[in-house]
Amino acid sequence: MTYLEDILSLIETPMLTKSYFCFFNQLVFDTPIIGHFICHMETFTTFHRACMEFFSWAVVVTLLGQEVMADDNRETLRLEISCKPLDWQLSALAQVLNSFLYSLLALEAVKIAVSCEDWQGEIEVIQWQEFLQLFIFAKKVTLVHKDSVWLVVPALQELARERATEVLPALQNLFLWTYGWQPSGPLKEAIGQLITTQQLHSHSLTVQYWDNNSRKYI
Amino acid sequence: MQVAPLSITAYNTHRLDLKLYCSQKRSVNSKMLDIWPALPTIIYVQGMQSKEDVTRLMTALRQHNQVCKISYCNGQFQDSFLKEFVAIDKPFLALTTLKLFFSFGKEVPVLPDSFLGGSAPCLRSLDLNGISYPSIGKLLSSTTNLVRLSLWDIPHSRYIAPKMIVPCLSMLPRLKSLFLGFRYPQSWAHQTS
Repeated sequence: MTYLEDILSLIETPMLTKSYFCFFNQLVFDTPIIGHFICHMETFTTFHRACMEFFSWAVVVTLLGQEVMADDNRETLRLEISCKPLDWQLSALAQVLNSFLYSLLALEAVKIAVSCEDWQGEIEVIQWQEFLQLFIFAKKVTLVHKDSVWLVVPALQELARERATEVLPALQNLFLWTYGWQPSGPLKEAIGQLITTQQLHSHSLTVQYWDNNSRKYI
Repeated sequence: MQVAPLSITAYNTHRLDLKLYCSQKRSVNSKMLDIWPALPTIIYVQGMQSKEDVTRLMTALRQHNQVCKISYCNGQFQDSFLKEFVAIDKPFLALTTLKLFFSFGKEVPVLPDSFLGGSAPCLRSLDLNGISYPSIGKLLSSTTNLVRLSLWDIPHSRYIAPKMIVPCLSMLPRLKSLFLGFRYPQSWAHQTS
């Protein structure tokens, strides 16, 4: 980390369009220079899309500019943090993203994919709530895999109930990309309550599922 | 290394593809390279199986002014290859691409100050993986056409100080891609596995 910060403090890269940082296992991420570097790069001043993937060995976030064409990934910042378990990944990612929060203000689309198989019981809803607060202007949230739905929907529901629309006031679309799986029981109920609460505060929220047959959200 | 002593293929009226392959079965010795015309040589090494392969490889590398591309990825005999390669302290004036991928070993391979004679002015792409090159600055001062620089899997104990590498980067006006990666600390790997 110190090495990276030393390098970044010594270089100027006005033409940079893609950057990939990989951090090793550590508890505290105090990264002011990385934050300063990202915020002062014209290319990285404003991100519009974020994709966060939680694997069993690491968490990876990819931040992208506005999508002009399909699969337009010209301006990309990718951060990988090698650590586990999931609560540690969440905490580490929040710390790193917090160091360049200004660049996240225009984030409209957020994708969350939890691929860890052993996350059960190791993470509190409140930790997800705190994490989601980073994406205050997100209009579209996509949850990939049913694990992501199990983890994030209760946090969103709790937020909507406790603090009305304070946390994700711009949220309009919730996409569930769960490969044919659809929530049932308490989880389905939680999604229903989330929609109702948003409507009570004059915020319409559409929930759509990915349909494998038609290959589109329904 | 591939089999076949010599192949000449006319692809079209504008291009003649001349290849010289070295192999265990049909060896090409240094005499053949002596009569080999001064055409650019591409060296691609993977799956060397004997010390004789190293000898053949070195025969080709000693034609240092003709070598334009080197791609080496081979676990076996890497120590003996490196020992002989670094002993060629002549500049590789035609070299445009150099890829050296070394696997994990007890000892970290180290490239000396005299590597490539300290000069490779045509170099556009440099990939070093698992190798320490503390005096890389000297070579980089000659590589003003460098477009890609990748120093990957650098052992922590052999890192290049930022204050040393950054001034070198500023002398590379064509540089488009920079990769710096450190070897994952073994102690941490044990903790997390």
